[in-house]
Amino acid sequence: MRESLLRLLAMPLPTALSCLTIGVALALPMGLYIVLGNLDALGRSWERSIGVSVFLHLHMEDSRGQALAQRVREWPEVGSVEWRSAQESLEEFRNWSGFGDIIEGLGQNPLPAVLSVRPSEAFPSAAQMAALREALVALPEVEDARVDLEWAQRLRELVQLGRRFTVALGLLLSLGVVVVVYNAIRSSIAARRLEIVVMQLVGGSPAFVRRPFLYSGLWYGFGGGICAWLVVQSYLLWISAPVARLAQLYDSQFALSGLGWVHSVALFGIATFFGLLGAWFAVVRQVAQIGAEEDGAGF
Amino acid sequence: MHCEFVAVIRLDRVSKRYAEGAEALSEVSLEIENGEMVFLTGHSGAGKSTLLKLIILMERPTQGQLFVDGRNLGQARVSEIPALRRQIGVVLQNPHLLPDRSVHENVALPLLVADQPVRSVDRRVRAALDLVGLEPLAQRMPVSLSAGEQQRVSIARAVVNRPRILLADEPTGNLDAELSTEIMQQFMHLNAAEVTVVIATHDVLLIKQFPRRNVLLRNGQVERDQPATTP
Ligand SMILES: Nc1ncnc2c1ncn2[C@@H]1O[C@H](COP(=O)(O)OP(=O)(O)OP(=O)(O)O)[C@@H](O)[C@H]1O
Ligand SMILES: [Mg+2]
Repeated sequence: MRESLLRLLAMPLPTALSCLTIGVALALPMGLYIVLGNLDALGRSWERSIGVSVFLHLHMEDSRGQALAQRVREWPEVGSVEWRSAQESLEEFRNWSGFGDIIEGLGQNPLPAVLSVRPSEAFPSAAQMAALREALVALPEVEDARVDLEWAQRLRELVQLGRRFTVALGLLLSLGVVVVVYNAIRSSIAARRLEIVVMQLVGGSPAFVRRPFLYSGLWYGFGGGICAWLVVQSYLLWISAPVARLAQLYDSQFALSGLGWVHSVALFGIATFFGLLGAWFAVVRQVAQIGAEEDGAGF
Repeated sequence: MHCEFVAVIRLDRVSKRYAEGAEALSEVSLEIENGEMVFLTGHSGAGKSTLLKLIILMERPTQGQLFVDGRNLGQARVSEIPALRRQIGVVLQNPHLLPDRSVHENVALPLLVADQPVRSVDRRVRAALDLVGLEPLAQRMPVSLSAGEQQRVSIARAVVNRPRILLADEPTGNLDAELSTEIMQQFMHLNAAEVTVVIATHDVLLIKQFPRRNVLLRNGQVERDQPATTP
């Protein structure tokens, strides 16, 4: 195993190039995966406040509004209902907008009472939210209803789509890794043809003959994993400052989460696995061929 | 169990036909006894190499039965081939030394392949090199050796496992008369140490020089089997 590593390090340029190729191929889906994970976390943190704002008819008695809140609360798809009187709405608007005086001048409260309805499900689909809104609008007491933070939901659906895309991309590029390693090992098998023939002649088992090449594949994968890790980490480092500024702008506690050790281990594991797989294909094909042509060995 | 005058190699009407081509061996029956030294001669294409390839399971007989050390090779499974080959040393016309490894490492290869304990490797490699008189060159690289020395290294590699059988195919094909004699003396030396030696060659002078049993093949058949003449 050590010997196969030294052999690779003895030709640093081709080895480095192969590792770099593998690294870039793996960094792309891995980086995308991490970014999507962050977007998803962001979306979820917003989505926790998703709900339907239900505007009741103007000048409805408070007791009717409260009774309605009580009834809606019983619905299975509803998690919680908060009732806010027209008066409270007005207070809030006055504090928040600074247009209190104008409203005062109107003489009459132009704002309706509002129900804030939260779904029982933590992460409902867009269809579920639309259905909830429909049901609420259909009530006689209700003037209108609006789904809040609809775009957060859209974001989540986009992230989900992005995840699928990433998985597909990852599979495709992993195939690329297998091909890169396959080629590297194939040429090293060709270069060490004599060694293979002699080993078979002196009674080396197929497993023994394969072993150094499989180790090389392992090292290629591992080296590629290191490259990918470095690429992803530096990329995250690079975008972390702008992201922090952006989060500050939106008064958010959001901080970019990088490659944790779970992801790092997964990355190295995947890289090594595909390296080994590429080497395995190369070895099974090429060494078997050399075995069949063994008599060219000089009998 | 092995007793002295039992055939260590026995062919019983062995035929070999390659996938494309004529019959290389047809109904060859032959017994080679333990500790014997045998020349395998015949014109080019007579089937000498084919016979050796059958013995080390590089090829399988199309017909007939082949026993090595009492073992029927026709029934050997593919997974058993490496172990069976380790009991036989092979020397070819081209020494096939690995250019990126020292003489010592080249000779150690059969031990490495057999997962021998590291401690014994060095000792056995030295013993094998000593046998061919090349102990002092252990750390040299093959390119720095003469053709004769290279062939002796390949002999050391063939015997480092202490095989009971040594097969050689044109071992002196690349060497001049003087070096050929030297290599032959190495084989005699090994044969004196109870190793069964089979040498395929068409070097007539060499055979005259070392009067041993001579099996003459012609078109894949044994034409003449001449016992050793006592000089
Ligand atoms: N791999 C092969 N495929 C097809 N035919 C083969 C193969 N190897 C040998 N032959 C044929 O088998 C016959 C015997 O060949 P073999 O190599 O055993 O002869 P040989 O006695 O060793 O000859 P030489 O003295 O030239 O080495 C020849 O006719 C040869 O063409
Ligand atoms: Mg031949």
